[in-house]
Amino acid sequence: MKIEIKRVENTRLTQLIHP
Amino acid sequence: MTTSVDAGLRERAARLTVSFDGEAWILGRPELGVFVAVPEPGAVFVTTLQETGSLAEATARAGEIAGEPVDGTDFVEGLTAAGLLDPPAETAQVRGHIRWIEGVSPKAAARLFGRVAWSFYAAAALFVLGVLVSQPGLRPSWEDAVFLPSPGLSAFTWLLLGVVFGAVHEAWHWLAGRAVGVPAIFRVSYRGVYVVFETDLTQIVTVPRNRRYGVYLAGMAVDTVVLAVTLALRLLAPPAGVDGFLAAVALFLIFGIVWQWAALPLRSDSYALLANALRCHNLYRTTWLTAKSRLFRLTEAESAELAEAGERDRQIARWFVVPYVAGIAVMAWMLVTVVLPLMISLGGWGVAQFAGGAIGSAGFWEALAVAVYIAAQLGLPPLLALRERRLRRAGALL
Repeated sequence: MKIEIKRVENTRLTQLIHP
Repeated sequence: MTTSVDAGLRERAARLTVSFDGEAWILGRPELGVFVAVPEPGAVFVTTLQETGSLAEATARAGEIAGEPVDGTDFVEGLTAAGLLDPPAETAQVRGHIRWIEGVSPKAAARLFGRVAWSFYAAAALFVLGVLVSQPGLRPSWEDAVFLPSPGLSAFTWLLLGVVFGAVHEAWHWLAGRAVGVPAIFRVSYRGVYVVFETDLTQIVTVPRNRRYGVYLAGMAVDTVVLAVTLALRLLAPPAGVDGFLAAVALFLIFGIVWQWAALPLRSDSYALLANALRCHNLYRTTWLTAKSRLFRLTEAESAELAEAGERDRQIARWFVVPYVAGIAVMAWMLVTVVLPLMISLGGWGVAQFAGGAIGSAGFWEALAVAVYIAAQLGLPPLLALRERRLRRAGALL
């Protein structure tokens, strides 16, 4: 059996500084 | 069956962290910011490798869990391809760490995100909604942004407000991360045409999913408290000058909160929250690839990437494009009702200053400064994009 590897995305929390 | 022990493999496996998110096992290299999700046999494989250093032993134990023989060599190749077995980064990541927050103990930080604190944040949100519904006069409009005699001066205060409130918003994410024991990296980035402050909390994937919500919501929680205080002060009917400033602050904060809910395709805080609630690992990328495959054609590499995405991610991505489109519509509406009117009023004022003012007059310098300011805002996102592209090529960003 192949053990599946799934990429996990980065968590980058943002806030506008000049909306 | 061989019992050979590979010391090199054991040493490389020792750098991996193994954690359970409530459903899948997360293998990672926290210092590289690289994480992958695997089923239980994969986690057992790595922990066995860490204990014994034996590929055969690890394969056998993973096979016991799986209930059938597993391909250990293929799994190690997969881990290598994902960059999990890379040597340590040569230079320690020191940029982007901020001392004063790291001086806050996790216990002290946790007080800001306990049951009492969240009740307080919720009360602030209800108060804000109550005021905006019952007091039409306090609802924001773009004119609120120009509260000083000239649009030029007002524009500089917007930047000041943005930096101050942006820093508070990010600090709250950071503190919430601290409360659950997750370190953060701070940087200036961009989303679409907007310059943003960004807190990278990638290591949050090592804590169970149900403990992540406070971290995602922390920024909007503190925005809501500041907004509630601002609206409460306006209810007290302060002098006109003060009220004008408070109106600008309220517009700013409401814009920021609405943007967080609309900017799902730009990976806003709300995107992170929804992706977690839907138990996805790489929803942003999978949704874009799914949308692109319907509208255009995928390249071979993109097709392979989409095929390799998790089953659940692909399932959710089929309909997650709907909130994406709704979010884009809301952002377009914000652009038309707030950003463009302000740009036009600022631009018109600048042209009048240049046309009417002698070169070297105060009005001229003010207009020139505003022109430079606008150019910097429009020019910074492409420059940051180039920088992040370099980082991505170096494998430091996903």
